[in-house]
Amino acid sequence: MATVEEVRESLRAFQTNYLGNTRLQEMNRGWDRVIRIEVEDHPDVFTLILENGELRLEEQSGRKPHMVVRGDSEIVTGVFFGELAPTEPYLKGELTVSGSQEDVLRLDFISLMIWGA
Amino acid sequence: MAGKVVSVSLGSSRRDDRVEATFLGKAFEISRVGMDGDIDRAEKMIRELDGKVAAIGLGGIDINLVAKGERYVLRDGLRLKEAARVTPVVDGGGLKDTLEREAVRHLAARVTPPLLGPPTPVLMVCALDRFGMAEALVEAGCPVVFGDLIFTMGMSYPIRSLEELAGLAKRLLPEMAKLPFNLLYPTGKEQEKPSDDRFSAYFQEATVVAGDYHYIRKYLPPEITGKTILTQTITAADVEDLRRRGAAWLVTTTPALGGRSYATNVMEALLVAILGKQPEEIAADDYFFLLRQLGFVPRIEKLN
Repeated sequence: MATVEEVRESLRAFQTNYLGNTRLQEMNRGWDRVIRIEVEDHPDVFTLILENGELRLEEQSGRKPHMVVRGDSEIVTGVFFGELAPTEPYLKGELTVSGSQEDVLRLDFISLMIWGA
Repeated sequence: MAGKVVSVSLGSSRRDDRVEATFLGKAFEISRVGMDGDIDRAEKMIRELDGKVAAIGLGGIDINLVAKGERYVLRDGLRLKEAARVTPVVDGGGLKDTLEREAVRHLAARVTPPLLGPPTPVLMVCALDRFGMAEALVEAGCPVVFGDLIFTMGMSYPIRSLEELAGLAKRLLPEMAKLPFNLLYPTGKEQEKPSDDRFSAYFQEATVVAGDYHYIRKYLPPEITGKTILTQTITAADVEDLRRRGAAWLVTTTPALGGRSYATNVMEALLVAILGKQPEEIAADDYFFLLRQLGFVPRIEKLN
């Protein structure tokens, strides 16, 4: 089981790598989304907010999410640190992503653009 | 007795059809059966047809995507191909690479006035499922916008070179190819949703709109006056819809059979049945030779 601090660090690593990729920011300009991250074995909830191509991390955000990503702390940390491609846990049901088909695909795209396969 | 060729499609059953035709003196019954997006039902149907028909086409799904010589195997497509042990199963990929390159050359050099050429801006809705056509359009000197990201995930990011497209494919497809195919491509009822015009600007900038018709239809604007549509599977209702929206020309890379242009998977299955070989034994030159014998040329129709 990963600690809350590790989950937070993985999300920050994801954010830092996203913001370091100007092409990715350009690609996502206009795709404004609130993505809630729920960790099954911790009560803490994190929120990734994409606005005008930029990405920020919030805790205790009251914003209504467009998408919810849910998994245990090991899976969530592994995916956001790029140690684990999201596809396999997604297909096994260990990582669930709710949202429109296009949004789910877009989030997978962003993750692969940051971390690769 | 007629040779039977069946296209098992993940698309809507509303587009089902059946036609009988004779090619090089042999009679064929060609049918298309839509599975309404149900991949399990498609797999079962292929198992039932295996050994009973001459060839099976896979519609609404690809087995492979190709970019600059790299081949990416789609997990769901492979699953359906492997459902048959005896009868050859094809997705149209082999034929796309020959027929569609040839179709672009035909429009650039053998039609007066040419419908394609160096100044003709082209919107290719998705290039990864027909890289041969994409390369031929670039070779013809057309400035091409590849809409793979726009049309698969609604991202307003036009790709303007084959190199960028191939680079993105290398980064993304090894993982994305494992995803359920219905996340990547409209299947079943998704194919019947009304068009969404949020990407109209890309259509307006182009003179020719090329590629898979389900993707074209997905974001087709209400008005496309003067545009040429270069595609394949298209029904009489689709043709009327394009006419109403003002399209000038319709070019389909496969010939009309019974008033309809069938998908390349159907035509490839037909050619495999005529040749009586396994797809792995067929070279591009075999397809070229047979296409010339059959006199297959693009169907060109003036709509407005």
